[in-house]
Amino acid sequence: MKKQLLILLFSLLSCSPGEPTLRELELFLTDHWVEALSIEATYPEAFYPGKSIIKPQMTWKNLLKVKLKDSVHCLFYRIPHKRLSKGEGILKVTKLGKSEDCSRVLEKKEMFKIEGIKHLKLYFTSTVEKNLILKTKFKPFYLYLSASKTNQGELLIELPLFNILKEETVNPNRLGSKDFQFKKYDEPWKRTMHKGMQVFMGEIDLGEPSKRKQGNYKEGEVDYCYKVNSECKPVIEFECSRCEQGWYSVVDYNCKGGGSKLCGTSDCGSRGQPACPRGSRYSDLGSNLNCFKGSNAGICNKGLETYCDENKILVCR
Amino acid sequence: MQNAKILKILFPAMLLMGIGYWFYGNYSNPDKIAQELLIKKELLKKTEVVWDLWVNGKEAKLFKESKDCHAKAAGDGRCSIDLLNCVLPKSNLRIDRKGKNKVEFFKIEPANSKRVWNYTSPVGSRVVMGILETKLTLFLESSCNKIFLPKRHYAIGPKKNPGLLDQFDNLQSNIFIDKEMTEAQGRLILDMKDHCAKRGMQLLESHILDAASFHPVDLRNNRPKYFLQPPLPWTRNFKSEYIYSAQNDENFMFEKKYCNFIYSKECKDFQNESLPSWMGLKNPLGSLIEVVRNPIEPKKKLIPSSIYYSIHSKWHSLGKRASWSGDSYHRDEFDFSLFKNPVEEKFEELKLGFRCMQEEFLK
Repeated sequence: MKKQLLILLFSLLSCSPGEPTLRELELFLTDHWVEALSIEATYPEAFYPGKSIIKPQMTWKNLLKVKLKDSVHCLFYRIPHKRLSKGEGILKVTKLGKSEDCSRVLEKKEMFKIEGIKHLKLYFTSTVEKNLILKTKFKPFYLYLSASKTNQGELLIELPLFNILKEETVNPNRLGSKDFQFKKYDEPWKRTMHKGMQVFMGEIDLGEPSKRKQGNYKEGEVDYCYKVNSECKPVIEFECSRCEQGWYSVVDYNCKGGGSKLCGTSDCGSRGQPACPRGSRYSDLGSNLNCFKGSNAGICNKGLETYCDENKILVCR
Repeated sequence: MQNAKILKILFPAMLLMGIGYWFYGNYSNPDKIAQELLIKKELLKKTEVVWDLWVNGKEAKLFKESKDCHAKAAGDGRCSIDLLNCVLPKSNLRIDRKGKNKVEFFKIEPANSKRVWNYTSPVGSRVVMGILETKLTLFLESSCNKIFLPKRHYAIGPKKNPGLLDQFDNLQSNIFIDKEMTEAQGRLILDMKDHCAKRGMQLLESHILDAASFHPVDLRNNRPKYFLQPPLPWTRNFKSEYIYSAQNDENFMFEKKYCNFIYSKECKDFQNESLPSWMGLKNPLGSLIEVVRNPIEPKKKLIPSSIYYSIHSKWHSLGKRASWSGDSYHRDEFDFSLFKNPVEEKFEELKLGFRCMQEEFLK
């Protein structure tokens, strides 16, 4: 009888799902990270093309922070030690809430975990990068992850990152590239892998647009989607893509990218409405202040004057 | 007795085995994973073909391979949902050479200001494509018909060398304007604003139209002190142009070639292919009577130069505005008194047009 039970137990164990393979890691990343909205290399010291991550040994390091539409994924790696871990590392992905940060969440239950990882290399870039010495070429907006696992050989994962804007691809070891500027005859494409295309796994349903008219400033509806302070630092980061009926700039401070922005339909220049921006040459002497009584930094209907209201926005009256 | 005991152990064990086997079969079967991965990766690759068709229209490889859609596409076919709807379902995209797994297109539809999670989808099209159970959703942004207003100092209105208060600059902002007008027969100003809002844009403002229409003359200097404001979009020498002759010489003879500059009353039987402005705006003069939002003189919101006026009309000059309340098409709501009415009656049949504009923010 005991013998029979042992056989049973053995058969059960042999049916268990087992340790994930590198292919399963690739499938996991394809299912989730293809939709990523931003990617940041959080361990710059190990972020070089073609180099395995080898130090500090036996230490957990957060390698990547990936923002998705409703969560943040953190990629952790326990760097292998030749003797203590037989040269095998552990890779795991932890899921966090949208506003959480990857530091101090190592202990949290992971979403995906794979052990026995060797020779892990990681890279991504937002421009074409060729390395003549290593004879490698990295395409923009791809995550390159290569690793080997005992009995599985090496696998190179080339994951397309369709939805990440150029400015959301944070590669810490790239030298600062020249600011992008639109040129004559340009169209307003979002700078993603394929300009203006976003890709999501599965069928994404569209919600109904809200029927409510957005943002009539005169009636007290002030919906900032970007706000700067007197030092031109964003108090509210740019999020005007959430405005269902467009957005417009108002006159407050003379900053790169203009002043603050509001969601809604502009009626600038009319009585009780924000003045239309006249440009960068009309600030108060020696400062970037555009909002003051009689300021010429805003355009109003003939016969109206500008004044700075309680929101510190230049308005016509 | 012993048999019953064995059964008691054996039954749950078998059950567990079954569950374990099912789980293993579903999630850890290497062949199944490889197959699923292959389908997903190949499907993701095929998105580029759809994007190529959206962005390049008739120049796209897929369009050139299609046979039945040539008559359907208007213009260059870029950012055209009609073109997607014609070409994609008939396409024969497959992920392997043996041709087993064909890419299906489940939905190709407009996505205008619809909510996706917490923000709006880009205004354009939504495409749902897939192979077997695997599906992808693509959002394609509609940017083809918009054009950038270069960053520089501009004068407002037709006056030469205006003072600083009749100028503006867009050195800090990226402004994009519809290249072409949208026809708006019977539409009131609120409808036009609504139309733009649904596209995440604003109704074009008059000083922005001035900037896009008047030739800056010296293109190399984006901070000029003097502004010539030439009345025609394509030249600084008004007096040597045919328009000047047409307006001042009674014996002036019209020729079809003039339609290449202004799409006027005489051009109705020809295609509207007139020259764009210096930055690419189509029909800064001619075509439809254009409606703008004027933040300085709100009533002066019409640019009358259009198919309602012959080439002899003095309305064919940049910066000339007529008035409209924007609230009704009653004759009394219009004021073309500077020169001549476009029609004597039936104002409600007037063909008006408008454009939208938007800003883009770069970090």
